[in-house]
Formats: sequence, structure tokens, C-alpha cells
Amino acid sequence: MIGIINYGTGNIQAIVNSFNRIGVESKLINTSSDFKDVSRLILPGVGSFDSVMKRFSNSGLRNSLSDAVLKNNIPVMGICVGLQMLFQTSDEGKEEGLGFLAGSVKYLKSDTTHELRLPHMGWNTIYATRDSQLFSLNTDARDNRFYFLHSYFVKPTLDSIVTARAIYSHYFSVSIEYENIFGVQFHPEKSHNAGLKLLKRFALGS
Amino acid sequence: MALEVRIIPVILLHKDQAYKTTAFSNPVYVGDPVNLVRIFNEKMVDELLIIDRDATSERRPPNFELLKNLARECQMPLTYAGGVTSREIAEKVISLGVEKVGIGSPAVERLQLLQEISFSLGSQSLTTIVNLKRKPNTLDAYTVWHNNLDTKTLDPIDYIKLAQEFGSGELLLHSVDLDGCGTGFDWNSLNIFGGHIKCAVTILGGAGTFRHFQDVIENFRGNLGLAAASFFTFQGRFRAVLPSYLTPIEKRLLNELV
Repeated sequence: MIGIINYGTGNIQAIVNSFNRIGVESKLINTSSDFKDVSRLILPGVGSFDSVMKRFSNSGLRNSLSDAVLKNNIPVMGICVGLQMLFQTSDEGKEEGLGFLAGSVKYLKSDTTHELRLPHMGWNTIYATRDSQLFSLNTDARDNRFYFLHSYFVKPTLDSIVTARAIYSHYFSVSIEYENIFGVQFHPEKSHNAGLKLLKRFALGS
Repeated sequence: MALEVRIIPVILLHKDQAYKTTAFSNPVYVGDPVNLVRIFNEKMVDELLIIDRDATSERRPPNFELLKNLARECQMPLTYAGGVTSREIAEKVISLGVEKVGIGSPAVERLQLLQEISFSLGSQSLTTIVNLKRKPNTLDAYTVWHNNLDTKTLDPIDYIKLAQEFGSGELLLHSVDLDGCGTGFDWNSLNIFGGHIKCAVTILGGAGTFRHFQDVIENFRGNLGLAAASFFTFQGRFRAVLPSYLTPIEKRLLNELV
């Protein structure tokens, strides 16, 4: 049973629909007690870092999520800002992230790329950096493009946890995997078949 | 391949059904919008734009029930515009499973609305629709069109800059004159306004052939969204209703032009 954390941001319906389409059972996690009998978790997130972190902190789900992920080793996948939340800080705001992973969130626009159009909006190709649970170096080209909608990207302290990158002015990380913690910057719930296949790989743990 | 060009079919709602107009008049019935969304799902389109212009002109909120069903069905990113006249309505639309809200006339009436929405939902969820009408007897001067207000003194470039300052993640340049004409996109407007747009940009209005898509991209040479309603809805000399999309090869050709 996949638990989709519902704290008021992210396209929850699209995520539920996607799991329905691939025949994977899912339920919404609205309160702490909803965490029981869940084998994997999805942490969505859309909006500015601070507004998302504040909303999450006020949801009453924070401690239960930390317990589930850090104590009970339940696999969790962050999507978009949900991935960014897993880290310590973000250039986008003042709030602290969950700090499950060391690293920070940076702005895609830098001193040398001030002409870059933001947000990074649209379909882009991802490049697996190694074989991992979510990606294979041999994945078909049709399954390697996903929909992105963001202006910030994660920069883990430990580069080895990055499992895929994409190119938008620079070659930046779009996916991480570390033990039971996963995250993708793009929106698998809105990326047609490639997204469905990725969600299936996460759900089945293969 | 890097960031691709976004090719976006547009569904226009009129009395909760899909319609198509020419220069905003002579509506032609197209079909059940939920079914259209399903067809576009199957064609795996990049994004979908749904506009309910009547909601804005009749001064009423969106049909949330219909929108909920459309969003539920839609497997690709969805932008909805029409009747989004407040932050609360925008929040409700997004909560139904829509990725972006499109704000056209309501922003001309009150630009502050853009700031309120981007502050609450983030820039990535806000598309400002700039309805452009050519000034009479000119080729390269435009006004920001509004069906009721006199916008003669509103400078389009100022408007575009402010829309971005107030948090728009995307600007959609819509040619009111070329709407439904099939004679080509108004890429001239991209030449004039493109340099002032730092966020994502999309153009809508006038697409008639695949060549028109190529023309715009050859001219603009940057990341772009190209939206079209008639082009993806009607086929053939008799304009039969037949939803379609570009083929993978056509898409690849366009991406090679960027």
C-alpha cells in the first residue's frame, strides 16, 4: 500500500490516478494514524519552498514521517518540491528543510546564466548516472523524458546519491537515491508512460 | 535532447461543451470536453490548455465540477483559464488537480491579482494571458485587448514587464486578430515582446499548417510553447471535427530548429 502524504500541496489526484492506472493500491495520508500499514510513501510538493515547508510543518505529519523514514526505514519518494524538502536548506527561502539528506537547494539561474528562462518548464530528457532502482543506463529513449516545472534544483553534499541529471544550461541533478530515500525533480504523475513506469518501479521496489 | 518545444492543444468551453470560434465569434460545436481530454491523453500531448472565456465575460466563477472531471481525466499538465478573478478561486482551481491557472482579462482589470496568486501558489502555477490586438493600420503596434475596458493607454511592454514582476511563471501571447484564421502564428509579436519576457513564453492564435509551427521556431530560436485550438481540432477542407496532434517526427523536426 502506497501512502500519499496529503498536506495541501501537489497534484494529489494525479498521483492517485497514476497508481490506479498501474494497478497499485494507494491511500491518502491525512493524519498520523494513516501511516500504519503503508509500505511506501510519496511526498509531493508544489509552490515556494517556504510555503510548502510551513504548510507541512503545520500538518501534524512531520514527526510521523520522520519516524517512518528514519526509524522504520519505510521507502519514501519526494516529487518536485517534495524532493527539495528532504534536504537541509534552500536558496529559495528561509525555512529549513527536513534534513533527511545533507545538501541544499540552489537556483537554476547563476551569474553566468542570467538569461536563462525560468521556471524550467516542459519536457526534458534525463540521463541516468548509474543503474539504480528508478533508472537504468539502458532505458529506452522514450522512457527518459519527463515533465519539469521548477526553478530550483537539489545539490546533495554526497554526489554519489545522484542517480540522474538533465541539461538546462547546466547539467544538474534531477533524481536521488539513498537507502530508503528517493526523490525526483520532475512530475512522474504528469509524464505519461515514462512517469507511470517510474512510479511502478518505485512501488515494486525492483 | 534538451528542453523541448511545448506543443499545446487548446479546448475552448462554451456552455460546458467544447467550441471553437474565429476571432472570438461564430462558435462551432466541437464535442464533449471530457472525451476530448481522453483523446489528447492517448496522443500523449505535451500539455493541455482549457479556456472558458464565458466565465470571465459573464462574470462568474469556473464550473468547478466540470473542471474537476477534466483534471481527473488529464494525464498531462493542465492549464485552466476563465473566470479566475481572485486568489481564492485560483487556489480552488489548483486544488482540483490543475497545474497552472491562466489569467487574462482579470489581470488587466487588477494587476495586483497576479501578485496575490503567485504569492500564494508560486510562479510555476501562474500563466498570464496577454490578449493582443493590432492597432488599426499598423503592422507592429499592439494593444492589450479587453472586451470591456478601454486599454488605449496601457503600454503592452509595461504590462508584460509588470506581469513578470508580479510573479508570472509563463506569459501566453494570444493574437485576438488571428484567432481561428489558420494563416500563421503572429510571430511578429514574439519579435516585439520576446526580448522583454524572461519567464516561459507561449504563443497562441493563427496556426493553420505545420509550416507555421516551423516558422515561429525558426524566428524565435528559444524555448517556446506553441498553442493551437483549430489546428488540433479540425481537419480537411470541410473542417470536420477530428482531434489530432503532431507526429513524433514532426515534433523532432521542431526541436531540431530550436
